[in-house]
Amino acid sequence: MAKQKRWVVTTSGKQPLSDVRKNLVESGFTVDQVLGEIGLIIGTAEDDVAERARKIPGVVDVSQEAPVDIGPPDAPVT
Amino acid sequence: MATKKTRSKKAVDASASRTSSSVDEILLAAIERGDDSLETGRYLITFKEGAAEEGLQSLGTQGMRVADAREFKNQEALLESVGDADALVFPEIGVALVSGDAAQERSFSTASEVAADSPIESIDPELFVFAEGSPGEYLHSFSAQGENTSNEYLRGFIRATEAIANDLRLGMSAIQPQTEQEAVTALGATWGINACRVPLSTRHGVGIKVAVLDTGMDLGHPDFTGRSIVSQQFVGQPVQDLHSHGTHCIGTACGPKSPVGVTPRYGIAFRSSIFVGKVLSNAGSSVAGSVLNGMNWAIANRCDVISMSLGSQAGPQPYYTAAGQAALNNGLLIVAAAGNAGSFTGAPANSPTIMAVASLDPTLSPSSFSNFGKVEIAAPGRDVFSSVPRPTRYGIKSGTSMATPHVAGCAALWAQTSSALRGVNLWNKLRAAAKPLSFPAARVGAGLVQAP
Repeated sequence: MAKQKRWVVTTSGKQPLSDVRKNLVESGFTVDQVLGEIGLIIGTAEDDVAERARKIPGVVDVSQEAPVDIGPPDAPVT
Repeated sequence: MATKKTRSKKAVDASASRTSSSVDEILLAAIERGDDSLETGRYLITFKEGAAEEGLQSLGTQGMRVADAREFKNQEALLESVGDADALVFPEIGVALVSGDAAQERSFSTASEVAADSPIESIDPELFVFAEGSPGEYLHSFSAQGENTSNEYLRGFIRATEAIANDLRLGMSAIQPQTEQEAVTALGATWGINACRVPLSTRHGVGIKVAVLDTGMDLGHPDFTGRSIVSQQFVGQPVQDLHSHGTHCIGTACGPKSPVGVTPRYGIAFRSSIFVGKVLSNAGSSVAGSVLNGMNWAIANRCDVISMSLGSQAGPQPYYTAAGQAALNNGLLIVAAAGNAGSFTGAPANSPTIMAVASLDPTLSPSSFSNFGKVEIAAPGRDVFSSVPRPTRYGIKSGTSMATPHVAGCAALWAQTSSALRGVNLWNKLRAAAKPLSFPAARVGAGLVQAP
């Protein structure tokens, strides 16, 4: 089985977010969160599902969720 | 309350801040805690006049197990009898007693800003009530550790003195005061605050909401007593900052005009409303999803200035760009750290809709670690003195993380000067008002951020 990854879907704002969400779910994307203020949908899917999601109307971008790190409390520069 | 606890004593305190805890249990926990706090760890929520029923329901909808004093004969609700209830409501007086754990889980804080349409009037810590005499003496008489308090105080005093001496040395060598007035202010504030000409500003950020998305905050830090603080976590940990990065950044952006004790001024927008979004764990790490959640929250709350001292060494991410655009569309401004890799500006600061902040040394030269390329503005980032969680209280850190809240604080002061200075206009004003520096724009952008 292919590996599930976390993705952030950026939308154009030209389609209702609920429609984009519905289309994503139908394409096999597991939606974890819909961030209405900033027009993003976060969820999990395999690579091929994410690839198909890029073609859904209203989807601008599908990117893997990046890690963020500021280092430990005693880091010399933070 | 969690903010008064050491981690090892957490379990003891947690069991003592239930609504059903006896006074003896709570008192014992306070003595073991070893501070002079009069807080029991529980909270009292006061509802607005005539809104007690609505308030009772609102606690229920927040998932609290609520006991009602009316369930008891003559409403003589014995606290020991309410079992595992999270809250006990006294409808007659429009007040609810909430356990420390339940309050902490919902990020209730004493200074929480309550929405206008909320049935809640205020949230206050429940205090011990003593008979005549000094409550401090009362606690110490029960405590074998009482004598340690003065030692702790002296150690803290020495630490603060060293920090001030260090800061003044840096400040003096960096900035040659040009007038007598500036010389006076230089003695009372950090080098960074002076370089941004904050002490000369008459603004304080009142009415401006500043969100700091970071590792949370020490919600009980004495320099923030009485401040309007709204907090929310997005990483599955309490907002209480066990890292120190978030408390340090909030200190610079929103810290007090006159800190407690002999401490130089280190904060800028000292009357702004503070929105604490915990998007980084206590280990200082996170994922973009949590960060985006915090950005969504800050924008939904219409925070005029959103400060993000975080990132990763990646190219521009469409999702951060979209979030920055949403902020600008709503008249809000996001400022972010350029990064400390001595390389190209990282994400999210490299998004065109987010203002990238570079770091300056006390000599006003770009810091060696500071990223370059897409840089809009620069600010003090080396050897920055600010607040850190108790018991240490103050500390010095370096990085573009420290430069960013200098810009956020100054942005709040500018926003106070005119309701037109929001979003893109605020972005442009900060750049236009910046002090030009003789370094390439790729290193320092428009120059050193200045207060109005």
